[in-house]
Formats: sequence, structure tokens, C-alpha cells
Amino acid sequence: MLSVIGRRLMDVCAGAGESVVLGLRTLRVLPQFWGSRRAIIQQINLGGIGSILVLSLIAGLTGMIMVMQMGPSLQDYGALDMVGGMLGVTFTRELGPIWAAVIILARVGSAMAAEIGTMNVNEEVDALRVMNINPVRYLVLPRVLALVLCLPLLTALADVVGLLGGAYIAEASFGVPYATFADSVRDFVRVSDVLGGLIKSVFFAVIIGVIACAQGLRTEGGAEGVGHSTTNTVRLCVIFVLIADLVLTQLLRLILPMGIGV
Amino acid sequence: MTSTVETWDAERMERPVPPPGEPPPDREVFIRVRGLHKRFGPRHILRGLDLDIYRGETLVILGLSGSGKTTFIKHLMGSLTVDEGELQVGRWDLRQMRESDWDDYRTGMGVVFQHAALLGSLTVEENVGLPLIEVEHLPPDQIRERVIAALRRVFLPAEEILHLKPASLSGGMRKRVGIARAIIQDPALLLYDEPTTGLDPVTVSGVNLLTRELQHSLGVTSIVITHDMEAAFTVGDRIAMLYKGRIIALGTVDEIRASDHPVLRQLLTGAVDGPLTEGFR
Repeated sequence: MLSVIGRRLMDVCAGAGESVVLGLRTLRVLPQFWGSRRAIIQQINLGGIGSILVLSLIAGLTGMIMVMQMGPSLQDYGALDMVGGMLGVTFTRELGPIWAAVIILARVGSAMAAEIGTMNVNEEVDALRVMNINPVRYLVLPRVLALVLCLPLLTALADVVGLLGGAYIAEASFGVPYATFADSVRDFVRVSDVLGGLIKSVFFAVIIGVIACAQGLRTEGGAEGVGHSTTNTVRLCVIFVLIADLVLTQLLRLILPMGIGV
Repeated sequence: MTSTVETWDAERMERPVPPPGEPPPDREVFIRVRGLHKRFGPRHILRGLDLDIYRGETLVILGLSGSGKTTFIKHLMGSLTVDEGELQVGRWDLRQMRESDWDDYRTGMGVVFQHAALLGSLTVEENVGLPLIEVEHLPPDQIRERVIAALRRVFLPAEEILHLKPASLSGGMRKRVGIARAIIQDPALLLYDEPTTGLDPVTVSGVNLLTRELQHSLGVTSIVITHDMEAAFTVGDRIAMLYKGRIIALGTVDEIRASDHPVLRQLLTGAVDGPLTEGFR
């Protein structure tokens, strides 16, 4: 039992270490991004645009559920007019970036690890090296940059759709007019809340992109290895996105004058 | 052509072979390997490999799975570093390469991978022209011209397949596209890693003849890794037998055919009993 836990922990540490190294190597080839512009656009099309529908659905439903949950309690305190603001702060600070990251991880991150893993197993990555094509520049950079460009936009979309879903339930179930809901959002949500969420999403994009590519590049042993890399990607990304969320929330509280009462 | 085929009894097989003799004066040694060792943890894969490969020849390296063939070729590709020993390719000493040296070295090398290793998301034109697009940054019309020339060289209907993805090609066509990609930068050294694995007999013959034809038309030095005896006899100028991390026999096709080395005899005859299957039965 202890040895299994120890092995898993070592796996997580090794995965994190490899991702850090790959992140630094990606940073080194960053100045060459213009040469990868076609691949970046292709990746945005594949991952970002393809995630819009599912993210909208999930964010909208989450907004609805949140209002359903908060509504009765706020009603008891006579504070139902504040539901828009509370939902707005929750979404812009936390739910928007986290949901966007989770959807990108599930749809794009795991697919990236599987794609690069399969390429590695099929010697395609070796073929790139032999042709003097740096796999980090050719495979990793466009994927990470595409995520960095997409995730803040998807986060903003999640914020908007979540609020729309919440506004609908607030009006339909609790009789809160749309104008009151919107006023409450305006009163409570600061620019710094939105900005903080978008900054977080950039970090989440880097974490997901680099971990997925690192896991893909370390894939060995055929289909089983590809499956292992995909599972590892999801596990590591969830852990490190949440750790980053915790650290960034604390840092952003110090840097940006966030939220109500500040 | 020099002959270094020797007869070996079972005991001698386990001992290192002396390095090959001096090459004849009219042949220039292009690749020089001396005492090459490679270990992966406790596994000792290459155990003092000694080999001379002459410029312009096709050397076939025979051996069973796990004998160290791919490990050796990966050293030449620069995917593995030398643990111990010497490895000289032309003017390059592969033990003392800087990062920029690898770029220059690899420009003169083409590799035909076991399963072609074409990028599934790219068309045939993009696959074959990849080094011209990504490394040489040539204009599209020049790239297309060279891609078509390379595809014709491997007897493929270039115009018809340029826009196809590798998934729509047959195994033999994929392999030829892989060869076209390997030769597009006019390499001085061509490495074939089990080029006929997984192909039907007719396609195998086609790929073998193509390998031979390319050596004559391009004059490149070729190393072919295989465990297919027929392929070895068709494409090789010389054949080396790798066994347990060492070269145990080296000679021309006729010399290898006539060799009474027990390992070679078993590989040639396909006998179930012999040193290769010792401990399995």
C-alpha cells in the first residue's frame, strides 16, 4: 500500500519535473512563434472553437444551478436582489476560469497527450529530430500558445453564459427582474475580479499545454503507453491547476484590489 | 571487397571479435566504430561493437530482436549518446558533438523508419517537403518541384498522391513516401530501420529493389537494419551479423551465404534448434 502511494507520488513529481523542463524549453523557442502561426491557428480551430458549445452548456447550467441553490437562502435574508452580484463574483473569480480549464483539459489536453504520445510511439517525433526540426518548436509551442490565446476567451465566455443562465433562473424562479440582476452584477463585480480570472486562465493554459505535451513526449510502449499518458495528463493537470489556483488567488488578492469591501 | 567472415564455435561466440582489418586502399572508411558500448541500467546492449563502413556501400546489419541493431542505428541518428568507445561518421566524431554540430550532421543524413513515421496530419507533399519547409524555408514552388522529383525517384505517381494523407496510402506506398522524404535533402548517409517489416512479399521485393537502385543512382552510403535474410542478400554489398551486442560475422553476400557460423546457419536455415533459441526450449 505504502509502496503504491510512494510510486504514485514519485510519478507526480517526475511528471512535474519533466513539465518544468519542457516549459523552459518552450520559453526558449518562444521567439520563433511566428513560424508556427499556421499551426497555432489550426490548434485554435481544433481545440478552442470546438469547446465553445460544450463550455456554454456547462457554464449556463452551472449558473442556473447556483442561483437555484443560493436563491432560497438569500430570500430568507431578504437579499435576493444581490443574487446577480454574488453569482458574478463567483463566476468571474473562480468558476469561469476553472470550468474553462476543465473543459479544455478534457477536450484538448488529453487529446494533445494522446496525439503526441502516438506520434512518439510511431517514431514521428524521432523523424522530426532527424530532419533537424525541433519537436518543442514544431509540436509544443503552437499547442501551448493556442491554449494561452483560447483559454482567456473561453473564460470570458463562461462568465457571460453563466450569468445569463443565472439571470434566467433568478427571473423565472424567484421573480428577480433582469435589470435588478444586471445592476447587482455591476455593483458587486469589479474589473479586478474579471482581470484576475483571466490572468488565472493564462496560467492554467500553460499548465495544461505543457503537462499534456510533456506526457505525450515521454510516452512509451504502444497503445497502452498512450492510454497511460492520457490518464496521467488529466491527473497531473487537475492537481497542478488547483494548486496554481490556490497560489494565484492569494497572489492576486495582494496584487489586485479584488472584490467587495476592498 | 574485404572478407572478414570467420568460423566460430559456440565458445568463441561469447568473446569479442577483433576489429576488422585495414580497409583496402581503394575504399574510404566513412563510418568507423571501435569498442562501442551501450547500457540501459543493468542491460548491456552493445558490448564492444567494432565495424568499418565504406563510403558508397550498402551494409546490411542482421540480427534478432534485442541484438542491438536499433540501438546502434540510434547512435548514428544522434538519438543516443556513446557510453564508451569511438564512433566517427565522416568528419564527425559523435562523442564530441555540440548542438549546432548535430544540425549540420543530420542535414547529410536520411532515415527510413520501420513504419515510415509519416505525420498523419500532413499531406504527402507536406510530409516529403517537411525539411524544406521547416528547415530550409524554401518557396512553395521550389518545394513542390523537389517533392515531385523525390517521389518520382521512388517510382510513385507524384501528381496523383501529393494531396493525399498517409492514411489513404497502402503500406508499400507509405514506405516509399518515407524513402522520398529521407532522400529529399540529398543525404550522404541513408539509414533504413527494418524497411520491409510488415509488408507483403511483392512490396518487400519492390522496396528491396528500390533500396538497391537508390544506392546506385545516388551513390549514398546505406545501412540497412533487418532480420529478413532475403532482403539482406538482395540489397547488401556486405552483411554484418550482430549478436548479443557484437559483430560476430562480416562479409560479402556470398561469404555470408557460405559461412558455417552456427548463429548465421540457424538464421539462414530457420532451424528451430541452435544458439539463437538456446534456453527457449
